[in-house]
Amino acid sequence: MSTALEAYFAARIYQEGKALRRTALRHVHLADPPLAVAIWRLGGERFRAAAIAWGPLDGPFQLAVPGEPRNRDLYFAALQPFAADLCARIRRAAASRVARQRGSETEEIPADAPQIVVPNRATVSALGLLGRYLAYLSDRGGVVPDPALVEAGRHLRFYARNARVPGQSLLTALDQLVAGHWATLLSPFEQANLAVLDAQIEPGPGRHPFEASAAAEATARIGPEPTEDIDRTTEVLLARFNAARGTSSDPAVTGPLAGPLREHYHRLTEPVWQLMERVVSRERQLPAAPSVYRRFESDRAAFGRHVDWVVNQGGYYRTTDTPRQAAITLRRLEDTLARYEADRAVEDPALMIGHLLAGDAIRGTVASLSETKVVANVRPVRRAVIALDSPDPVILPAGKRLWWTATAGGLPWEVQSVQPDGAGSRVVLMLTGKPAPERLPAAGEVITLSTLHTGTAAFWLMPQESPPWTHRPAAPPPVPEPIDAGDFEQPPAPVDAAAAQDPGRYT
Amino acid sequence: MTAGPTTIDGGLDRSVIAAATAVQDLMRADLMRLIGQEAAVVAAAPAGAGKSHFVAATVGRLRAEGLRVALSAPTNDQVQSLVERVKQLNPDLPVAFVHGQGRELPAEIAALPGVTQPPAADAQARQEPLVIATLDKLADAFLRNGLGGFDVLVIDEAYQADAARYYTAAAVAPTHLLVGDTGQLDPFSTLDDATYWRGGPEDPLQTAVGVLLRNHPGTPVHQIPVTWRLEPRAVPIARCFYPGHPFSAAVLPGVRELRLTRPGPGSQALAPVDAALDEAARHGWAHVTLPGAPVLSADPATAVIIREMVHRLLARSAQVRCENLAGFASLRPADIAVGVSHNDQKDLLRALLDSCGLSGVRVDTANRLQGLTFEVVVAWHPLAGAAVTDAFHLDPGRLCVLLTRHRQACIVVGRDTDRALLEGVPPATPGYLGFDPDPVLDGWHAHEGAFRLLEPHVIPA
Repeated sequence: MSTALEAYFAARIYQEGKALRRTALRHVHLADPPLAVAIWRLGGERFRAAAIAWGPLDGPFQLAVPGEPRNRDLYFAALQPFAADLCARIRRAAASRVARQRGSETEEIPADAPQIVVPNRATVSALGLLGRYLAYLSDRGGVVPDPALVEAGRHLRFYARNARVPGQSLLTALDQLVAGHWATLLSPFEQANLAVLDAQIEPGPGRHPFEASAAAEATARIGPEPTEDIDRTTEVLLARFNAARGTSSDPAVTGPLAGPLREHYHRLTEPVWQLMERVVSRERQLPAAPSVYRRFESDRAAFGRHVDWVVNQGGYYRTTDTPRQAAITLRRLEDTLARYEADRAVEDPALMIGHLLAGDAIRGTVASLSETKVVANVRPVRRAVIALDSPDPVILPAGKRLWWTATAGGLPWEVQSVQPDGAGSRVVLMLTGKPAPERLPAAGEVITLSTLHTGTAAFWLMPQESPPWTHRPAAPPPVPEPIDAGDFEQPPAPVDAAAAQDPGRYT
Repeated sequence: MTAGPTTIDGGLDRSVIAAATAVQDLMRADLMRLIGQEAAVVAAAPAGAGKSHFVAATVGRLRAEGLRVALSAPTNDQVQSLVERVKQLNPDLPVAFVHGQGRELPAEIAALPGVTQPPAADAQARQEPLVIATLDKLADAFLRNGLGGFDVLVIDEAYQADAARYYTAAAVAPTHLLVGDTGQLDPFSTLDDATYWRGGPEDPLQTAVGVLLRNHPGTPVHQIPVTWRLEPRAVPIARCFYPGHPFSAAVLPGVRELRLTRPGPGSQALAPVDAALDEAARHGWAHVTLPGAPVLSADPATAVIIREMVHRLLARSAQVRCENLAGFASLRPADIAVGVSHNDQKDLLRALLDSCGLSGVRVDTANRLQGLTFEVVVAWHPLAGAAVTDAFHLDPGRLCVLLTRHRQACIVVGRDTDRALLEGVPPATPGYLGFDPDPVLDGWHAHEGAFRLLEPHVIPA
């Protein structure tokens, strides 16, 4: 990211009074409609959802409210419809397959994959936590949890973990999407609030984005973490609900009693839903970049492999990676990130500006195109040479390799010399391979060259399955005690602080 | 004019050298005792401790015992210089350099007698007794061509190698010797959430030494207590980067000298540049500070003053004397390096230096200067003109590399507001279960120490 470009954006936004688009294209796939999810928690209770709203974004949402989420029976009963619906959608999407040709291999990948959109990154981790909780449910106390809950947990875990892949669009956090597409005056912390971001883009007539964002920050409520005022209302309703139900966890009894809580969360979710709808339809107006399709195809392939493993083969995922899995994941993610960044800048001229300013890219008119012979290894070979007139001064050392954006997946050009030319520069570049016509620009053409390239990453082999001794503990780690151990033990008796001995005193 | 224990002569501190030799003997004894077992020895060294020399000498001893050795390091530059080092100390030893596509040895090293560059499959078929390759290439050759079955794997710069790279390469031999510099830059990733695995035993970005010690805490770790490269005046600042690791300079005070044979200043405009050079020649350090201003990372004003500095250093016919030389020798462009933090700074300086005929001066980022030695270094301070501190620029490893590459003098260039960034309370940093170091706070502390020790050498520009 170029500091100069950021400064320019900040000045213009301040002057014009609204956020500016950073990109000319949309770099994320957006389904029509995507499946949206919004979550609310109780304050201080990170691991349970007090309410989950879900549904296709073009219609009303469904709402699951357990009433008392800390009660296992109530929690599972409330989550069941959400889990069943999610599983059905995923199984349906994975059922119809199309062939994808890659080199000599044909892979059957799902024709579509449900895209989940959430208001922010905090919801992505909330879904990950929920998935982790549900995926490993045991049948403690002899109560077997609904299989849909376990399956949904495993789907959510996949979605949340796959959200690490740069450029993926299976699980899209809208704050991230908007912050990537728009330049605003907000700090990274403020950008995590979708309502504040939205207010920068459409501040409303006569309002400066500062005021609009400040107002949005003060009034808008977006989960999963409740604000203090939400929690105060929730606490009263929750206390009333618990008092009325007594010890009952029978849905027939608790269902009607949870009405006020359901209304409370419905009221909270409604504006979030509208906000998500507005944001998604605004971003969808931008034309998708060419590589969006390919990236979503990779997403579908990953989705298909996940469904095959979990649904068709009944496989499990480890809770933590092995050293081998972590090493492979790291390398894959790094390769994907490099490719994603290159794709975006090469396809989107607005994103290339930052690279031009940072000196990673040059733009100019091809003044001449000629051919020369250079000695490679033993014999002389033909090489194309272009002189590029850039209106801006260029600072690049000789020998630097640049890719023409039109052939960013092909061979690089090498800087031969840079000479001042009026206010700008003349850069002489040589193609590092055979001068085939499709690799050459025409004289007079305005072209951009940059350090970014979209060639396939170097082919690498998977590390060996069995870890070397260095990556294995000398002694196996102690077997953890079962997660349910102690559930039926009497809790220790409370300690009277006045009677307890001061542990700091040694006599 | 490279540093190295090869020419032990007058001007050296015998007691420091004796202590270092004792540690090295102990390490070799440990290694010999463990041959044939799945075990390792770790050598932690400060900057310029003669690691590569120790590695090359140890490889010679292992070969003399008839053991088959794989020698590795993370980058191509590092392994190429290892080939050179091994041949210097063991001229008769055949060396097979296994390389990736387009990564052949430079002609002068390839021409050394006994150096071959076989394909990995041939190296295995011939059971080459000494193979040198990068960790990535070693891993690839192991998986693809079955290169392996060595008795010992020796890794230089092991604190820079990450656990992911070590995973595959570790399988080529049961016994390992890991040598590295704890103060340098840690393994690095381009990912935003590179801390995802932090603290876990599977973390692919912990160092090779980190994963080894985590799984095998009983592995012997030796600290080498000497620096050959740095002279006594450079050591106090270097110590900021090695808490808990005592070391001293091998060379005695006053043995090395940087002399400017033509007086400054050349002109009014050059006065601060010449004053900085005089300060560096006299004390081994100069901290040039431009007036405070928020600037872009590739700030032209800073780049120009660095160019002037290099240009004046050569224009004033600088000469150096050291323990390896009988008298004074002229400073050549190749003896000078400029260290930076960003590639755009490097590109700008490269273009500026090339335009005034200084192509022989090395300009590179800290990552690429690791392991290299120069007579004089001009360091572009990582925090120069920064508006806020962040983890990248506070990284103690980056500043450590920049301030510990020189044998004679180091000139730090920054702005006079840089130090104020470290006033007040350090930033709140996230904690990770199972991960003790805090790179940001360590960096804060190391930067603060370096600023304090540079204070007497500040020259406002």
